[in-house]
Amino acid sequence: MTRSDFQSLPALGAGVGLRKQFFEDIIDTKLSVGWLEIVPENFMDFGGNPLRVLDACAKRWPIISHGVNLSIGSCDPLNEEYVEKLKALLDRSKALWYSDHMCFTSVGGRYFHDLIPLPFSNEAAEHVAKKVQQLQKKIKKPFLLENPSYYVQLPGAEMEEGKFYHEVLEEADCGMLLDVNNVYVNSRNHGFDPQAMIRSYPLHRVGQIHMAGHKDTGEVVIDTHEGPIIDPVWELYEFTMQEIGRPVSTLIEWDTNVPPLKTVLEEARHADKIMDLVNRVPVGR
Amino acid sequence: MTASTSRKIPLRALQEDLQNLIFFGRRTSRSVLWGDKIPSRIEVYRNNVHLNWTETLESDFSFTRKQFTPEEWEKIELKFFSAHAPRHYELNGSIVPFVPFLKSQKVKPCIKELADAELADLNTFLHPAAPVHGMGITNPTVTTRLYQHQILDWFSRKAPADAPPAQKPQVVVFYRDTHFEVRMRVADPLMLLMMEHFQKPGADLDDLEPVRRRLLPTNKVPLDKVLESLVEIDLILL
Repeated sequence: MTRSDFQSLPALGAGVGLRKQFFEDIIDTKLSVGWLEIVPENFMDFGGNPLRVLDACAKRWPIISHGVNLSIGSCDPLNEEYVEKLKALLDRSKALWYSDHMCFTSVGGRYFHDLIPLPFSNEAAEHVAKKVQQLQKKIKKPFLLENPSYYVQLPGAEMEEGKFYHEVLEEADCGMLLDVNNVYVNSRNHGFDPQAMIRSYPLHRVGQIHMAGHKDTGEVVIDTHEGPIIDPVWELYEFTMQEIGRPVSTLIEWDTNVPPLKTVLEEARHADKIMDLVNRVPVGR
Repeated sequence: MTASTSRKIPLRALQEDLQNLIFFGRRTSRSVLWGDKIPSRIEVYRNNVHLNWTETLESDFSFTRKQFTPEEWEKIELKFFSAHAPRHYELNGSIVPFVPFLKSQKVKPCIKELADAELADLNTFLHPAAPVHGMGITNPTVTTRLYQHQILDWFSRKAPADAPPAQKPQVVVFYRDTHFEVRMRVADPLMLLMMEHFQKPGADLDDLEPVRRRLLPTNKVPLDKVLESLVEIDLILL
């Protein structure tokens, strides 16, 4: 596979995150777990039980890595120590591909430990594309960038969001992790049409999808990765699958008040059903 | 979402501005991006950052926190994070400076030692080495700490604030056993000597006897029995 051929990334069905709440049960589970996504920062520096669990899981299931602190959009240079450790972990777990977010998480070497959005500007697009190119010289695995949720619109935008993703991903030759819940959350917070936003993204580069729950405070919708996925987000998922026109590995994110593994897997089975249904019906395009 | 404005702000300046607006301990009320009309939803980021940082500190130092009133602890958190914003991509790694920070504060010495023990406990749990039987050496996850208080007993009682530890020196050994559990033991001089001796691969027990005679001349405990007990608890991995 060439890097730009994200359509031929294996479609693994629906998977779940390997969270510490599952460490006790997952290795010997009889439940049907399609694949696992890891947050690499939770394993990169550590040995002990977390690494033992990861090693055991990597023998049973495909592993995909989804980072939170690559800080690809930061004006700071790539953190060489981070990249080296990430590479070692990806090799150790035989991760099929890896991803992080279209955002920045650090300034001057100090970390927010939150995802801070980028302006949709030419400077930001060129900057991110250049850093992704640097990254891809160091780690020879397919790399995807996720659309994060954002709560403020930054001044300085020079293009629409969809075009920004086209610019960065084409220039960097990387893939997209399309977070459907984030599109829904952003559409509610900023008042746009989520289907139009989905259509505007470079869908030919989508190699993975995220689905999750969120919290609606009444004033703002927050991407908390908590609770069951609501129907409008499932509907947007179905629409997204139709637009993409091929099965795409889908991850159920549930990171707050994490329930038993069985409950998260039920959400994964629901995603599988939609994926099967959509891909059985010719979309006629 | 949309190309809402063409106002040119260099990316670096934008990022620094957001850092000043959001970071716990900074939070300026004027912004390069928005002047004094800062969007109310910037609070979402402030809350996320605040919670992520403080919840990690409170989780990693839960016994230490118990020694303070909520108001005192809040002041400590603010002071700490104002001086030590996270510098590591992993949050637990970012709060390591808390122990030296606390040592520089007007806090009871036993609380400073408790914080040190909590960090040693966490670091041992996550230590990158993989102790297994047959390594022929002292457990590679071992950390040794000298405390001026009876920290181990206090720690194992979950550090009740109304029953502080006695002031009496104690050497505590932290290590992770082969079943991934963190163990803490009070170490005596012979135990420390033996752990030091078996740091080297291929160390022989017979070579330890002359060292023991020189350093601990009154100690007559059979070395093979001590070794056996340390092997049994995974402190030495033969």
